Amino acid sequence: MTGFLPFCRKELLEQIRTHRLLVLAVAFLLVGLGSPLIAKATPDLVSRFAQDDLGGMELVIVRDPGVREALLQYHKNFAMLPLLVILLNVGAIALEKSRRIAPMALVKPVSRRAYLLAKAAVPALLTLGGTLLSASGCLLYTTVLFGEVDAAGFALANALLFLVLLFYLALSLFGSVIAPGVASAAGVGIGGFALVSIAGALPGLDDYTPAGLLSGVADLILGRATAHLGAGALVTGLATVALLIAAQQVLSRQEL
Amino acid sequence: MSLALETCALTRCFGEVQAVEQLDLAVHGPGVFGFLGANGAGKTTTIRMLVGLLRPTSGELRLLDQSPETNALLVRRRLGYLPQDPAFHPWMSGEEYLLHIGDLFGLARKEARRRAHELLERCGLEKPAWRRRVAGWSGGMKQRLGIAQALMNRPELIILDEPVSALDPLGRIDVLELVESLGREVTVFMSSHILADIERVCEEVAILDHGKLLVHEKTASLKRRAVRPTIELVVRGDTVALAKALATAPWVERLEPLEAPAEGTSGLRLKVRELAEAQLALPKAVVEHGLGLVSMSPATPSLEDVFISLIDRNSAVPTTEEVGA
Repeated sequence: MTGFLPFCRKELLEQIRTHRLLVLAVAFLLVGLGSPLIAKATPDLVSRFAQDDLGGMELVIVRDPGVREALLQYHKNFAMLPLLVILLNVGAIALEKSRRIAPMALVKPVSRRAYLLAKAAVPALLTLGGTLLSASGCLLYTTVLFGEVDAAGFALANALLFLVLLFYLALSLFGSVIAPGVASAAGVGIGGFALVSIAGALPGLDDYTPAGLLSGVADLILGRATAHLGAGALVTGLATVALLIAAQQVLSRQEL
Repeated sequence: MSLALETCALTRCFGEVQAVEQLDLAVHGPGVFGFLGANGAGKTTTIRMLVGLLRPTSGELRLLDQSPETNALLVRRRLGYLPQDPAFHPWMSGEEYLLHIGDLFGLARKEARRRAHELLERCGLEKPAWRRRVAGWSGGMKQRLGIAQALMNRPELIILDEPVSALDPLGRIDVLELVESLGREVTVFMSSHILADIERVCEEVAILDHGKLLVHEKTASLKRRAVRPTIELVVRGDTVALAKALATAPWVERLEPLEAPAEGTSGLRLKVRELAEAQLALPKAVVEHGLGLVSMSPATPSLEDVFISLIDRNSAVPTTEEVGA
């Protein structure tokens, strides 16, 4: 894996210079801090609407929010982050290939595997940081606004959410390797996201897809039975590794 | 002289198109080797195969006595490469980019910084630009940075694909001088379609046309061998009758009018089979036609003449025996 650390250093610098790290941090922090706030404010907002002339609309009764609502809101908001992960990483390799930057680095005494793994490792590390930031923010605000949270369950839920994000990171890197340009890589990433979402809605298959795992986390938060969560996590983990191996195989044979 | 680069029946096809066909090359170093060809001749495809970015369809290649396929890392450690249009991370400064390249070669930070500064200076990049983002750099500056990154590891073999194509005339002179000085220590394999540049710095040249190797020879001997000697004749008076007479002379291969250098004069450019015979016969013919001889000078063929003569499909390359050199 010659060149892994130099590539990692460059990737980290790139994440900072191109403001991707900032975007990631702000988005995760907003999800973490905003979710309990939205849960808290929702009844107020709804009752304010109810006082207005609703023009024949039915009255909606909203129960008082608690820890459960705050965490469900967090889960709902977190479910949008895979798209952000895809958008931030889908051009990572495709852009460097199309701009002819990658060939200049890959003719040096480095391995293509090191190049790809650095592209995966640094965003994965930053996504882990983002997840921790988001979870900490949510935990703090939920505790302040609604009371104590089951920390162990919440930690497990976040570990699974992080695994889902890793899967989408691997998917976007795979798209970035196989596509000739950024637009087509984005097509692969977003198309893949759509396919996984559809597969996650299919009965029988839903529990064994990353999208199904994401839904399963909601059950974990609600305290429902989560028999298939382990299988979902295993499939998501294996799919992540498989996508990275496939990307590496393609990249190692690719002509640049 | 060591063998720096060798290809054997190197071939690359893109579908039906044969971009490079059965290329046999042996380049010894040190020195500057010119790889010449018109646009689309197959130069960049060959170079991309040499540096491992493209796989040959068939054939073999060796760099620095090693197979780049089986000893990729070892070969790349001793190789410098400048692509045709060098591209950089736009958010990086020139100095940062060289430090990154140094990092890829495993240079210690301090050594990499020292080497980066040395190369930035050597490649003619001014100090205020070093820490500016590459995104705002001109094409010429990027080309110079591209050369600097190719030299970061003190390579034994440097492969430059059109290294002066984006440079202005002064920049070209600077970079060609740099290439020339590098050629005293290591082997430089340089492609170009600018014949004057190749002629200026390369002792040896290969010419590629439609993927096929036309010629591989020392530049000086190629110029002597491949082009008929030429004489430029200027006389006082009209050359019409003289031209008619010379057209039938056995030692004249071709003649064409030459732009008159002064009023009342006219001129002819003659491609001759035998220079010595022509130098004896021409003054006599001028006098016989009642003209005044202003000048008669043998023109030195340029690499451009050689190139045109070789590429021109209608003209066969004269052999050494034919020319009588």
